[in-house]
Amino acid sequence: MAFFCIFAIMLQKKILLFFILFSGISFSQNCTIKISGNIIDEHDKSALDYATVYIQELHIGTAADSNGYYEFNNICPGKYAFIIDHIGCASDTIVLTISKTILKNFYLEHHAEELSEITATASRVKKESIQSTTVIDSKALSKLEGKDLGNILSTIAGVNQLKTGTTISKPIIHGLYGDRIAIVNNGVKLETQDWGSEHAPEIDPFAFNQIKVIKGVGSLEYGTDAMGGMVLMEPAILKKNKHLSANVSLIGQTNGRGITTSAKLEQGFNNGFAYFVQGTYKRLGDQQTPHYNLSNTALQEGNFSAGFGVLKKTWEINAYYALFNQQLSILKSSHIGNLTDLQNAISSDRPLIVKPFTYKFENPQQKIAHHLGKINIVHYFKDQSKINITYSVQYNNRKEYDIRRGGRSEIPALDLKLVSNNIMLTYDWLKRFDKKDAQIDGKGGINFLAKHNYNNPETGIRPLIPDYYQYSTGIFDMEKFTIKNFVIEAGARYDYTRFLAYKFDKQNNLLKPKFNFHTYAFALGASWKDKKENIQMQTNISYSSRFPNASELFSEGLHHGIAALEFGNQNLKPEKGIKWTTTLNGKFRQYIESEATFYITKINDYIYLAPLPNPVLTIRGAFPAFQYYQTNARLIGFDFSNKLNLISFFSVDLRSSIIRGKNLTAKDNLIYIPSDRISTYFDLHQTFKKFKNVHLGFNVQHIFKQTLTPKLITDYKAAPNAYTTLDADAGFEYAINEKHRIGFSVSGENISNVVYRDYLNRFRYYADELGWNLTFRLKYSFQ
Amino acid sequence: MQNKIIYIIPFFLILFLSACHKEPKTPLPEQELITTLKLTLTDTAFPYTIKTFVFSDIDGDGGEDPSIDSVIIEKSKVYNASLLLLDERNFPADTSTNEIQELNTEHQFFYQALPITLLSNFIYLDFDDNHQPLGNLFSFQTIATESTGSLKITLRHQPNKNGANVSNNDITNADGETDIEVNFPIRLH
Repeated sequence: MAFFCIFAIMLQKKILLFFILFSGISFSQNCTIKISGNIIDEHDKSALDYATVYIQELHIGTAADSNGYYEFNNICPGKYAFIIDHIGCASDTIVLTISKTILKNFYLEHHAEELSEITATASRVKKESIQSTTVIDSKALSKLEGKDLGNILSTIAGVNQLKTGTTISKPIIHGLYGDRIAIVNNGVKLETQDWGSEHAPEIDPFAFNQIKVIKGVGSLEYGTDAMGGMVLMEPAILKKNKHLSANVSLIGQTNGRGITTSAKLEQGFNNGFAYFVQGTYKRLGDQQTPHYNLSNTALQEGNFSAGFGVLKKTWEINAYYALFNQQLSILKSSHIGNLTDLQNAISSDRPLIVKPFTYKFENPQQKIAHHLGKINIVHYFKDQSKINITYSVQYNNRKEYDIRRGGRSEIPALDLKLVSNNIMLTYDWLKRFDKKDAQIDGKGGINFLAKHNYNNPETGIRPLIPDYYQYSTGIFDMEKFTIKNFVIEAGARYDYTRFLAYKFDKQNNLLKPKFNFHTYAFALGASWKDKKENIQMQTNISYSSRFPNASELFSEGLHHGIAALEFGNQNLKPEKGIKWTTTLNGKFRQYIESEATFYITKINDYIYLAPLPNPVLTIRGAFPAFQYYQTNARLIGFDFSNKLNLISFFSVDLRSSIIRGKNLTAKDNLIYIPSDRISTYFDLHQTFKKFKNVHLGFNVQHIFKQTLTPKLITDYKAAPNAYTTLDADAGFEYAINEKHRIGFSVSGENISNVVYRDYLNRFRYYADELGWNLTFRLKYSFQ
Repeated sequence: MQNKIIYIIPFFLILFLSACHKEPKTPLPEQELITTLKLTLTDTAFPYTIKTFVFSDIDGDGGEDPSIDSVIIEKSKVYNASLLLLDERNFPADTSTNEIQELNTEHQFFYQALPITLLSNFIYLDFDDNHQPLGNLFSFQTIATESTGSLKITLRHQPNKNGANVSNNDITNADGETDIEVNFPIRLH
């Protein structure tokens, strides 16, 4: 419906804007050279799967497939530096003069640490971006299989999670979360009900081969509002001529007696047709703390994604569909009626309702469905420029069930649907100055976004946020100038948004407030690295702005989890942030690799919940009341990671992050700011003939107490104490033959069964964090 | 080979305005809202003196403040009390008490006086299908001296009626979730 609606609207037009996107200039050259080959282990001549090859001068890179095969198309003649990278290998740079299509194999010295732990790859700065970017690649992801997105991302220094109980987790990047970070699923920004702290992103990590986290404004492609950062979820890359490959995972975990299965198929044909299909099923019962069962914390997930494409020399058509379906129940003891109940719950050192383990779902619970579909057409030009048109549609349905009287528990208390349509057109171009080893490349584009959010009128409960239509249109442009080892990047984006709300007041009169928002983003950055890439420096300054969301404008109602009334504020203006990030990356051969990121974010008109002076008296007693206000805020932080690799089979990885958040106007601390933390990972790894990636690792993590909590916002319970947890993992892969592989691993979390609570878990009022858990992973892969 | 090709791509940006916007349907009225608690007190010695005191918050949470009557009664008396819960947004008002009677095993009222000595001898006069206290009807005795204080009436949803002393009007171990918590100011003369 909404789809047709947009076109009707588009035609109905009043204002026309001409926008000349770009002029790109191509050179009279034969830019049709193909370079391909295999990446091979120098010692045992085996293929190095998923290695990356990067052409420094062109700033393009590709990942080898599972057979170590890589391919570049449409390359102009010239002299290029090829940088070949593989996990556990020292990166190698080979300079070649290319004049015609060639087959070139690269040999790498491999140190048999293929499955080295997450941070080895996670701390690598991606070369083509000048933003501080961290990649969690497929190998690292396979060690985290079965965990949710928030958990996976929190393995990165500077990324934390805001949790609601054990199964709901939102990523926090550099102290900001929710609307202030963008999550991009295969090139489409996820449009969900992310205004709620208890609304986790609708993402199944199994569907993706790689996750990139940009700790900055990142690409201006996806809006002006990602002042915290960006999470790019990347599924399998459709490739021509790719052998059929399959993965099947079976995962069991002791805490919650959970089981997860996932399977993926990928294939590419000669004629350019390629596809992948992936599915996941997950089931979890009540989880346990060291001393008691967390009653009503079951979870069920059934997810599916598929992509197919026709890949030709000059054009490409891709289609992608992802379905996320989740049902989760929420800790029974967290559902409280009033302040007295809350005080009772808090004064008890364990939840008031503890029942035996069960897989059953009871209220309160959530049922979430998210569909995402996309069609994408790319046209490649000979000068390496391309035009990309993407249409995407998303449908999000969130049902929340409460404990209600008189058989109404079957009726959702909240039933919101959000339909989003987005059309995006981008143009990428590249201009090379052959003689001077310099180039300019850029990307520009426009997009139209239409969103319709509507409530089921039959819930019998006043909607927390009203129905609304949102229309946005944005234009952006980014330019990057590269000369030798020095890169400068600049970009700008403007978005116009019209926001039409339909709100019923208490007498059921329909009010129709309308808003117009103008938001901007600017980015300026520079990076430098020495020739051997031992030292790399990046600095970025960016401006971004975000208009208030429906919850901040209109929310009105009681939050059962925290016994507080929350009121929106229709006078809010867009918030505006400036973030300055500097990253320093140093390497000493293969022995040491360090990265330090310093950032400062200043946000004017920062939207936050502040307490109203008087509690509100209701028939259920008095409730503290909060309203959205604006203030000026500042966040300063430092992330550090350091990997020592002194012997080939042993590495030590240290990670730490510090952040301070201030409400400048009220001279107070900000709420939900992660406390200081430090972790060290010890990893032993070796390969023995057919037994690959035999590894044993221990992770010790210390989280300090958050002492800098807000003084003007009363917290019912003081921030919890510092704690130290211990995790361990061990596993191996067995190569049956060249095509078949079996992997087995066991990991243990909180193996010392420490009792602790975390400041960033909103249910720390009610219950402890999880006790020990063992996860067994069995994986079969066919290539 | 193509020489310098200049790609100029003009775009017509179309800003869309309200076209086929569906106005939302009026939502069903909130069904579980209780706006009003009526406390009716009968002097057991003079059964004809009936007094009713009201707590009402017609617009629900937030908005206008609720109105609360002061309970002015006599010292040294035994009163029979009955409670009536209403949703007065509609006319005639919905009687929420009916729903609580139907689901009587899932509900229980509790009474607390402040200071504790102000009112005593709280006795449940009605019971649920399992013969456990419900508390729409109850009785209590007032202290012998002129004094002021308050009476807190609490309704718990899904309480643990078997908890220690719960059947004796002790809310400490009642658990469950609070549906109503109303404080009436009291003056004894």
